[in-house]
Amino acid sequence: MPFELGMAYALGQLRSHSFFILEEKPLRLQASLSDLNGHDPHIHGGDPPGILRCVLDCFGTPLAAPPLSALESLNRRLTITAKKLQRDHRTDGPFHPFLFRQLAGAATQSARARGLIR
Amino acid sequence: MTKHIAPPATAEQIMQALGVTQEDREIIDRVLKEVDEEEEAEATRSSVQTPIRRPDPEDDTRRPKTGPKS
Repeated sequence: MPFELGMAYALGQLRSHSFFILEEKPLRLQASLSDLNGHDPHIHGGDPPGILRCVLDCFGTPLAAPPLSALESLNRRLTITAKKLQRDHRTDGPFHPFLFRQLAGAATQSARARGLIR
Repeated sequence: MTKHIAPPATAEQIMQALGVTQEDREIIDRVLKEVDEEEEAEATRSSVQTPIRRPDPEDDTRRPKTGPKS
C-alpha cells in the first residue's frame, strides 16, 4: 500500500506519529524504496503466524505480551466467524464495511473473553 | 525496534470506536455462540474413543499355527 505508507511517513515527519511497515519478503522493500531511514520493515512471510509475530514485535511489551499460541487460536476462531458472517450476509469476502465492523467486534469480544484485553 | 507504548483500549472503547451498533452486537453474539457450539461438538467428537478389545486368552484361533512335526 504505497499511498498509505507515503501518508504515514509524511505524518511522521510533520508531528509525533508512529507507524510500522509489514512486508512479506525480506529486502523487497529496500529494492524499490531506499529512503526509509530508521523504518525497517517487519517481515511476515505471507502467513498468519508470521503476521502475528510481527504484531507482537510491534505492540507487545515484555510484561504483557500474550503467547503466539493464544493469538493463533483466536485467529482460527475468527476465520470460522468470518466465514459464517460471509455466508449470513451472502458476500464473497469480508471487505464490506458492515461485515468488517461485525468481524472486528467479534474479535474484540473474543479477545476480552480470553483475557487478552479488558 | 521501537515499541508503540500506549495504554491499550478496553473492549468497550474499541467497540465504540468501531461504531458497533446494538444490531451488530446481537449478530456478533449469535455467531460467536454458534462457533462455541461447533467447537464444543468437535471437542466431544474427538474425545470419544472406541473401546479397546483385549484378545480372549481362551481363543486359540489367533495363535500362530505350527506345522506338522516331522
